[in-house]
Amino acid sequence: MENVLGSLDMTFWKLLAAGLAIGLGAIGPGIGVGLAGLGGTQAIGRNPDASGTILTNMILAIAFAEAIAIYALVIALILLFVV
Amino acid sequence: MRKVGTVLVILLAIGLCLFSCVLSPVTSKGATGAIKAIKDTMGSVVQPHIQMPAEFLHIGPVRIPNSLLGTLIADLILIVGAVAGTRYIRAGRPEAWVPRGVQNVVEWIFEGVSGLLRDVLGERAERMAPLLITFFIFILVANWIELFPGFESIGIIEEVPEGAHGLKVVPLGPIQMLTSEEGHYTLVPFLRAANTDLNVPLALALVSVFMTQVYAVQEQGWGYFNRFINIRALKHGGAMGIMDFVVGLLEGMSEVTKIISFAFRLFGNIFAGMVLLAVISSLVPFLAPVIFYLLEVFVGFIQAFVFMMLTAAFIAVATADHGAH
Repeated sequence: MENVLGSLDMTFWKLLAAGLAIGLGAIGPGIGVGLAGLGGTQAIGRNPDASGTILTNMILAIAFAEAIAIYALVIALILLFVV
Repeated sequence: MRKVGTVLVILLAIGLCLFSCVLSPVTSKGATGAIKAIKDTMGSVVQPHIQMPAEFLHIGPVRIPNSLLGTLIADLILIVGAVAGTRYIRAGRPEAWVPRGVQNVVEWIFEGVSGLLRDVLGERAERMAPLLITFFIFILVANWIELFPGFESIGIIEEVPEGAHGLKVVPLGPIQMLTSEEGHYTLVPFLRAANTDLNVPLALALVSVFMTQVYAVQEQGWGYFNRFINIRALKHGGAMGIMDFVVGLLEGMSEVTKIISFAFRLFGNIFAGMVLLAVISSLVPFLAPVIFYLLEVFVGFIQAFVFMMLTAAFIAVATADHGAH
């Protein structure tokens, strides 16, 4: 096992770091987007007439949650292509 | 009879999947360690070549990014569609009253989208709809043309610079084809979807955020910028005024992050879709990519929709009067 680890170069760590960055960074936004979708669909189910407003607000909330995943993606891309 | 047909289709699908698994030569050479097996496997599967910045085509002394060609094709489709769709209306012919063909499609898109925008923006939607609908249809078409065959697979074969990763070339009749073996050549595709090049989403994001400020100033006058640099609260608000001032500065910061998240949301989704399609096509060449193509059709639509709706929502927030302070 030590031999394997010793023979690994920077590329390995870069790839690992990029994978971890986006993988771990996507957990929170995933839960957040799911919650926003849950709230939105429940609200539409209870009050279908207001679906237009609810949809807009839901998309807005999803976009804010998704922005965190985008920051993780930026970090991962920087690790892969720039560092 | 219909049931027999369904069963036949399913059997055919399963058979093709198995066939493609046999075709993609996954051969582990005995128990010589897991790493060796993985290396062997990766070596025999055609690995997709993934490059983040757009490739450049050299036409004489000019360097043209291939994403520019993709953008121009999207523009061309939109212009032709718009010209064909409004032909009778512009000519003032009576046929325009009963829309047919392309005109029907154009009116359907326009009415559907502007109905959505009216929900968000109210009567202001009338003035802002052209920009927002342009965002929607441009991003939609630019995303969807990526799915046509020939995109990112047909191009010029060039020699790679010394030390870079390259592939071997085999002649195939009058044309040449890249293989999975190591060599000295790489493919520069003619066409690439606009949004897989970060410059295009970034430009769209800049236009979106800039126009949000323009509309806000048009609605509220220059007092709109009090939102970001809140001198009035600092003067009259006391301790809470300082708080309001800092909140205003943070709001100014969020305008900058908006550009980043707009640009990277669109770029990330479409670029990841391109990578996904390339990887899946190299792993299971039959049938499996079809599912992911459908997924990409969906993602392309959702991203176009989200870009338009977010811009509309931000405009709605920015132009809403905050009452007399």
